[in-house]
Amino acid sequence: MLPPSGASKELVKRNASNSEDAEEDKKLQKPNLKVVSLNSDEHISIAVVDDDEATLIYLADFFAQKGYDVETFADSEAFLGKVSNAHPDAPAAHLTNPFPYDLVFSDVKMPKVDGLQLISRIHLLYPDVPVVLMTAYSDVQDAVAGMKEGAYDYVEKPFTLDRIDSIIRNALWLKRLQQENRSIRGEGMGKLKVQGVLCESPAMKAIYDLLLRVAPTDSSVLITGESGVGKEVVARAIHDNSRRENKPFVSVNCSAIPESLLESELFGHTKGSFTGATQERRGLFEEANGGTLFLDEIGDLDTSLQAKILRAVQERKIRAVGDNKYRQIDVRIISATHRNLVNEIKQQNFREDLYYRLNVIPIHIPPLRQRREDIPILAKYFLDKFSLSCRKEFKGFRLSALNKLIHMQFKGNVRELQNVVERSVVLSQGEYIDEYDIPVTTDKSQDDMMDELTYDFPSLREVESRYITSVLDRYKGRKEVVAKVLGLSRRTLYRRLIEMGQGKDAGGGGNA
Amino acid sequence: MVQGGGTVHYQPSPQTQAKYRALLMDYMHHLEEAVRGLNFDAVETIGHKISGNAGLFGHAELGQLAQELRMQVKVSSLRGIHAKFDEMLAYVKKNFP
Repeated sequence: MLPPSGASKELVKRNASNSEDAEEDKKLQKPNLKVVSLNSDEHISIAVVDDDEATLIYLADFFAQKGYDVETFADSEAFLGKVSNAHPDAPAAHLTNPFPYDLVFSDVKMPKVDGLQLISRIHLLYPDVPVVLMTAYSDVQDAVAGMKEGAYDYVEKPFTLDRIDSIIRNALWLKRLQQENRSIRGEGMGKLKVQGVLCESPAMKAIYDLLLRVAPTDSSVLITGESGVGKEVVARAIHDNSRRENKPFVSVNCSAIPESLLESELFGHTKGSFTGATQERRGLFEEANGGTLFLDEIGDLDTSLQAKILRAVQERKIRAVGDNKYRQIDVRIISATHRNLVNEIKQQNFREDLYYRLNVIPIHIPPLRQRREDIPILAKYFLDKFSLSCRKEFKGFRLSALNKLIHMQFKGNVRELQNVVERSVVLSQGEYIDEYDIPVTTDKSQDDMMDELTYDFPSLREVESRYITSVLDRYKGRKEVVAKVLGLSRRTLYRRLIEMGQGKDAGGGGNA
Repeated sequence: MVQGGGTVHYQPSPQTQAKYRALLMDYMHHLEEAVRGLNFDAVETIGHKISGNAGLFGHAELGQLAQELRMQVKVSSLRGIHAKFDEMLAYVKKNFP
């Protein structure tokens, strides 16, 4: 590979107003050849990344003559370092800092980090930044791959200036649209109280938009999604933005209350209606009167109770256990489930008529692994939250830590992310949360671990052995740590290991 | 010199042209070394760069020659590589005296 010339090793900043070259140009009385102007008031900042110095000097000169701020980089890693969004050791400043350029032109073939990698690393945290790929005519397949990767556009070298100019105009138009969109969304969001609902992903932004339209109505809402995605947070946001906001929001987890008690919990009971009913009690429907009743895990509800809920939803009337009178109620029903209710209907576990009553407005919250763009903002939120409660101060996440979070599976979704960040805050001793502060235990959810341990219904003793082995694996055989985790003395652990037939190295003392 | 064709008019500043000349000389020097040393990877890399940038500075013919040089690398034609390099050298000598 051709070694870069001296100039190309340095980051060359070309700014028409203050660069040395501009001074030289003035001395030479270079005519102002700016013919095409987008808008004299428009400030445009462009980065050009290319390991070919000639392309850099050409575009730097062209853009500077057009009055744009331009910065050129002969090294893609230097560029990533500058924007500090993908350097493994850089703090995650992007959470508060905007991207410094309106547009990025990047070569495709570059050593170290190529143009395609550059796009993915920029878009990991700045998904809206337009990146234009520059490629040789014969390498146009790379450009196609780049478009799939999310490139805004591509140009073939040697490119025409008409093409470059048109791309800049379009990118600028896009920037204006995005700004207007943010401004409109900002106004809307100002009105929408969405405490705890934080997102960057298009999927969740669409849910925001839906919330705006749904909240003021009284329509029933069915929220679906895996455990831990934040169904209750969304339900609360709907309530907080409805005309019922000053009335109660009552949440009940249908799977957490024993079936025998649930009817009385929901509808109340009269004195003496059953053994132990020593006094009259209002049910949760009545508690929520005028407000919202959130029925979480509705899919776990017994079919006999489903009929009673159907009547309550349909007729807005309830009857307490042991009572013979119906009472009128005014409650908005929001329900949620992690189950696929359509399947449950097919299996006759859920009433179809109730499903249609509850599912007037369906909202599906995708799992966190399908909207990884939300991880940084959520992680920052939890970091602030737990820093406060732990009385610790952190400047943020290292990018390597954030990257690790972004690539984790999070089968437990936002709830798991919250736990991971909490553990990191407790364990970390630096100014930033580092990669090694993120516990590895979260690669598998606890459910997965349980499945692994118990898939073949082993004896309790066998489960214990498997669990010890699993913890040993996780802590790489460090028996002192393992003993602590298991709540055993080292001696007891060694004895168990001998019984399990792993006693050979038990006496080795581990490497704790 | 008006570059780029179409409606956008641009003339590289004298400094930019001077920088390009120096760079091209540097590229040609390295290209010559690569051709002599039979370092095809380097020939391809430098050919790729010149084919991309020469046209920008009004030397489309040189860019085309560099592209043809790359083709010769692709088919591993030693004679073709030498021939194309000689043509490029002649062009540079003629246009960058």
